[in-house]
Amino acid sequence: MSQRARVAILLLVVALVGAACGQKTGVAGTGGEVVAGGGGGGGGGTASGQHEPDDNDTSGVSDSEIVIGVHAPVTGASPLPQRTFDIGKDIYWQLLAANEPDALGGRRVRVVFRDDEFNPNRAVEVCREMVESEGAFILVGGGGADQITACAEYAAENGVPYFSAGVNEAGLEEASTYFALSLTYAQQAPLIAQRIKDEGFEKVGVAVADTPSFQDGHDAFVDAAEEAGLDIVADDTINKTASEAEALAEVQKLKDADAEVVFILTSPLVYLGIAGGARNQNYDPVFIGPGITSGLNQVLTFGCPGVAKGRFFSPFPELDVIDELDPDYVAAYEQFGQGEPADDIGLALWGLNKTIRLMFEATGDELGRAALMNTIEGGEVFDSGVFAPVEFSDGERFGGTAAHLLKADCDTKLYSTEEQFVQAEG
Amino acid sequence: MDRLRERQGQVITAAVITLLVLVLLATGEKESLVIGVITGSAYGFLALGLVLIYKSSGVFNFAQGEFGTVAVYTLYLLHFDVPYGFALLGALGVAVLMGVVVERLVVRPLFDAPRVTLLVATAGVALLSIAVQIWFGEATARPVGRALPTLDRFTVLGVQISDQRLLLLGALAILAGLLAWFFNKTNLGLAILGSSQEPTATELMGISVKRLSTIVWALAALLGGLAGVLAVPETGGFAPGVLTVAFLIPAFTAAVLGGMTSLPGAFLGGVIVGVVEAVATSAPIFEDIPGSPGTLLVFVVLLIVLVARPQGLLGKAG
Amino acid sequence: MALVEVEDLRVSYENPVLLGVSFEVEEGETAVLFGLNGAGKTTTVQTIAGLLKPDAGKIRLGGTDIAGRPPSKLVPMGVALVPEGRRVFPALSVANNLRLGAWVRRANGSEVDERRELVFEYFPRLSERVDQAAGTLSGGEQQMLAIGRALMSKPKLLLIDEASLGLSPALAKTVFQVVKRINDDGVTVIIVEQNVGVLPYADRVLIMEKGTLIFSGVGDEIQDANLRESYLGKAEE
Repeated sequence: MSQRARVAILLLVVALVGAACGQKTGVAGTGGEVVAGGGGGGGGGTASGQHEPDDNDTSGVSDSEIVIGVHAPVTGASPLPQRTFDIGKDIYWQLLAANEPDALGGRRVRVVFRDDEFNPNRAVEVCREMVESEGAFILVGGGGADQITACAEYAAENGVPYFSAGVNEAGLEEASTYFALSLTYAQQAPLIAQRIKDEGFEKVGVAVADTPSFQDGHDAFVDAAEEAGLDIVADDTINKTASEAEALAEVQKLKDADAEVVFILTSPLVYLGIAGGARNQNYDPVFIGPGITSGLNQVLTFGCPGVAKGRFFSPFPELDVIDELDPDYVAAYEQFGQGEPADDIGLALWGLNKTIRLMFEATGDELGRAALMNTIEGGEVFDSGVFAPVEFSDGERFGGTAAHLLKADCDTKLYSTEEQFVQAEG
Repeated sequence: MDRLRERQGQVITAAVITLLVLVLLATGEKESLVIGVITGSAYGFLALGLVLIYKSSGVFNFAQGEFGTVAVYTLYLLHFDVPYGFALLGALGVAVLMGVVVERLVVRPLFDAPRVTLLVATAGVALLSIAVQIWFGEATARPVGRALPTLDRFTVLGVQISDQRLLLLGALAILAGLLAWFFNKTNLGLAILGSSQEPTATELMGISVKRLSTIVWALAALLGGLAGVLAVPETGGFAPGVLTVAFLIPAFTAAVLGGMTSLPGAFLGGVIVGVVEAVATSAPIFEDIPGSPGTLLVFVVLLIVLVARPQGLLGKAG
Repeated sequence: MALVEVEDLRVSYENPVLLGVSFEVEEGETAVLFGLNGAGKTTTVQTIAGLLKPDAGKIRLGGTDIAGRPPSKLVPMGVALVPEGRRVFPALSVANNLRLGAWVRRANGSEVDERRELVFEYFPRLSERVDQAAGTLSGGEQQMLAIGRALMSKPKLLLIDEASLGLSPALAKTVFQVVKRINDDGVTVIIVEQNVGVLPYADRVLIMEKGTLIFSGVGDEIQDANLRESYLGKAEE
């Protein structure tokens, strides 16, 4: 084969495999965390800080219906199970329609769902489709930092309120219709540093996927750790689609540096690679980080025993405490779950929808996009009892106030809720 | 002259490897050496199948990784119901079956088509296979256990080597040797080589070239399946398209490094790619490279080989 | 007795190429198939060897109809074709080229060794180049190898397409002489040629034009004058 032909074939390989990764497959994990939540919201924020009431666009709201558009990856590099998502996305609204038919002015909520394939370009496409073709009133990002950032930007340009669980801050602080319904990675950093200190650990390793979305989370943690007097013995970025050799080499570095705790901010699959590799090398550090997808029970099903010492902060609590926080959740699954058990992905969606319902109700009968955003930005606290309370004021886009701390249990292969509503200091 | 050139390849290879080992030991990157060998062997395994198809039909088989993923999927489904050993055999059987089906339905109708057409067709097979896996099993990751559970029997230069990994390494070394013997010494092996060079002449020897093609694809699928069932459990689990996504590019690099037609070269190329990735991740000098130094360095090595020695380390010129 | 009987053979690719060709070749003969480019000579021998399937007509080998059978069936029956352009396996050694030639005899090792010795006897040059890659041989040597490879299958009928193409007159003559020896050893030969230098070695001459056979002659009928008139004469038109 001629040299040129080889180069041509190589390029073709890259293009095709790239296409395959971007669209359909996935193991190697990519940068964005999958956020199984997202959330409710509303109110304001043009440049002047107020959304003009004259433009109280009521697209997607009729006398009988409110349409919500949700996007998340169910195919692609960090997929969530589609059936779980299909059932979980509107179970809260089904229960609401059954138990309180007069809530929201008698309107039913209809959820439209689109797979963004873990691809930011695709995310913008599906968000546009949901707004323009399906008539979605608001948009919700169910997962993937890069996809959420891309779609939030589209939403801001078009005045559509956009909600998600807290991810990165960079790229979202300027999005005037965006609302983070839980603590961002950067906001969680002091909690994590404090927790590490409280547990008596000193030597901390840092492994963060090499994606711009994770940069602010990384920087915030390093600052917080130094402030807390922790010793950062290794600080690395790792390829966001790390191969096994790269994961093992990273493990070796952390092991050589003698890190007792590893701050991990990567896709769950890279986390699994590192945790599994560590176990193969008899190296057994605690992994801790901003959770969301790494805090999903799926990670334990797949990654135990390597991930046995994982702890993650999460917007939602685990199933072990949900009955005391909100007994309706499990009951709703028994009624509307089509035989599927109540799980943590459903819980994330449940908490999110519950917060959004509070925001809709606070807005009242004149439910429109500007009115909703003005209501949210009015300083009211929305407390769903599942997600931590959220509060937005002064054009602030990140309203989270606390997070739940989840702890892995490889006997049951379920995370348990170690501490509820851990407050950010200050 | 020919022999001289062949020896030149071996000398260069020996020099490259010696240099690599010396540099790694001198810079304290000895762990990368071990990590590279044990993780690179999986690339080598997949590369072996790529080389086999390339030797016989002159095409780069994008579906090679999927033979492995399908085998792992089958192993996963079967191991609930039957002992691991039988599940393993079943998985390999399904991989071979897939190879035969692909050959009959895709390769054979395109027998006389330009190779580029066949190349694109194999990419289509890979994408279809991944889509079917998502369709049946959703795009979720699934755990799959090892054939051999012991993790810490051996430690080499500070890196623990699991029994599963030894099995992979051993199987790879034996198969690379067996295949080299098969192609050099057996009639069937020679016939496969002949059909890649002169299919019409091969036909005129009374050899059914179509039957050969079936045999080759079945064999390649077996190799892909072995790569899957031996390498993937070591990482804990799999998701749709795992071998295509995570292994195919490094394996392709390994095959080109080895010379695209050399079976021992594929094995060697895999190990070199693994070492390069590990070094790029752990050596301090690469720390400031933004992006993914591992991938970057693998491509740099690949480009150097393509420019300086396009026939690869052990390939034959021309 | 006729070893090969071709009867009303019709072959087409997209357009008809053979329009009903009939001839016979007796056992032990050397027949030469003449004709311009595109006359249908190569199509005729390829169809006999099984590379092409006829639309209609019969090909009988020792009385058995073999039309449409693939080479994998015909080679064991004793039909071997040396294809146009030699088509040796360039990356394989001379020894391995010969070994593949003996594919249908591979079960019988001693027979294969005998055949190999016989080929080296016909072409001593090959025995000096056993381990050399076939692609590095000269044109003449490749032609010898191609013929030798075909002989490895122990054919009754040897078809040679363009034996002398690209060879010097002296080398072509050498090749024809060896073909004559092969024929003397009992193998029936059909050679496709454009070189009249082959005539002294021919028992039968067949001339084709535009997909039909326009001349068939043996013995005295083969005279240069006739041939020039009917073959070369027309070539000048």
